Amino acid sequence: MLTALFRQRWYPSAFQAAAGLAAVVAVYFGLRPVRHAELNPGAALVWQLWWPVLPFLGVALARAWCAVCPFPWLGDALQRLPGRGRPLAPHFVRGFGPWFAALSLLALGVSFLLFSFESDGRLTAVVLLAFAAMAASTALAWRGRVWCRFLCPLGMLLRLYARLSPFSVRPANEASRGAAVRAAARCPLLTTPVAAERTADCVVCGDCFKAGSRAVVGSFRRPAVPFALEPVEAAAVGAVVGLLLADAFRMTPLYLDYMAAVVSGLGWSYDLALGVALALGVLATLSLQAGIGLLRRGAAFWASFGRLGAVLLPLALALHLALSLQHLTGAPAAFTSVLAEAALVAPGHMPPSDAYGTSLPLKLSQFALVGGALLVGWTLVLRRRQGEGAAVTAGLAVPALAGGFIFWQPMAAAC
Amino acid sequence: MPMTLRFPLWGGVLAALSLGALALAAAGCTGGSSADDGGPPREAYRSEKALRGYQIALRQGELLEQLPCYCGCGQDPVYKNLLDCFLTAPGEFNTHAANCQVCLEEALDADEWRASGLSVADVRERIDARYEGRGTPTETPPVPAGQ
Repeated sequence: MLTALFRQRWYPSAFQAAAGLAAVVAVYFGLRPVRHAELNPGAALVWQLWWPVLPFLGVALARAWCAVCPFPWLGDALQRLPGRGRPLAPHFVRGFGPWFAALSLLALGVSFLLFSFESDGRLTAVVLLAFAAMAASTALAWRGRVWCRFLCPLGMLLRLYARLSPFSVRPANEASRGAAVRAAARCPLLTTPVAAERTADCVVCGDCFKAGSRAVVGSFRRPAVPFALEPVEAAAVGAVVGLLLADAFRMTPLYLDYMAAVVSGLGWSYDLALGVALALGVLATLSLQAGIGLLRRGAAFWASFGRLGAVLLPLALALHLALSLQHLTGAPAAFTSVLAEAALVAPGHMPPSDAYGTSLPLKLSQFALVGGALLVGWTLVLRRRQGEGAAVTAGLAVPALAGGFIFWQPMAAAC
Repeated sequence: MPMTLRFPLWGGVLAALSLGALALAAAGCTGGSSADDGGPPREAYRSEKALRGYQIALRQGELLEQLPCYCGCGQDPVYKNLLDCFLTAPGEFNTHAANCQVCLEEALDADEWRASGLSVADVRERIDARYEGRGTPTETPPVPAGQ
């Protein structure tokens, strides 16, 4: 059924148009003054709905969001303008682009937590406009979707989750491998369905489906969890785990206790205390990874770093899904308030005085996700048997236990 | 490739130590709320703006008491002025304002305008002008003449 969908002429443009309209609505409402800052429809659309849904899309359909994302459409449209042929992206962009994406992902996550994007319509609009501007400017400079493949921070995130997705685009069978390669000649990301890294790079744009008749299919099968990641991917996984732990921590009463102790007890400024909490979350995970890499005598640092990254990848996805479940449970109430406010039918906003709650089904789901990730990661360690089981197990156990401890607490539905 | 279920010893030790550190950190943190020592309540530490709002409520209670709140809390007759969003009684905190941007912005504006030398009546006039229409206001009596 999905394969048939990808062969349709209106795929993915119809979805892109809908997503583009949603982005325009989010920017419009984000920039428009509102009566209650915490009820900005633009920010709610982006952070209460799209952002929590994204990891579920990633695990179900790999990078299919990238096909629906409206920003490459802007770049594609600009590339169709008459003019000289554009060159391929230079080597340094292809080589260091993923590091830019990983650092942008880290910067986006830190900024989100520091400046509370979820209740700031203007900053939300600025982020969306910045993505559009980057996609458009790179499309004007180079051939293909350089932004999507090498530079986009969300592309990096989905590239990681795609490695754990059962969905992939592949040749229909052995006999059609040649036809599948020829069908990919127009691939905007300059990839091919027979490449080993296909699932991570493919944005499921549908071009090879349309060009290759029956040679290419989209199918589900048991994902091949990688034993090792590229260094940049491993660093991104560490940063994502740290950011998610910090974000989850911020949604518990422990955060209030920490801030009260540090701000009133030590006399730190609020921003400093928040920055230290964030740095601890992100740097602790990355330092743990790096430390374990250094401990491994006789093996290359980056190889060990990459192996721990692969072990942490299921945990990153599990933490993201668990946190997204938390956000999605609060979404109906949040959108009721937002819509009432947008329509000016509410006599004002009365937020609940105690925003923390504990839902048993939700907690069980969150523990199941973190526990499942721990098991998958540990299985990887055991199967690999390269003499670094103890250190890598600790590298997996520490953030997983921290995640379990945080999810054990009562949590707010929103940030 | 053979598989064994041998539990890596050092992994277990490190994990146990980490758990212990987390438990200690949590235990150390829980005594941090300063509601009992005259400081803001624990909920005020949700954001910098909330912390400043509660600090203003503790310092400028008489000012906030004379200002209406426009967040919509006027629907509830318990709320009679902006101070009620922060304090239910002297020393007893209301956590409503910690989650409400309008209450916090009103308190911050009022404090800033008062500090700039405006009278209480002028501050109220400005608050009315800026926040009217956000939501059902509290029924706060007018500022007595001369304040």
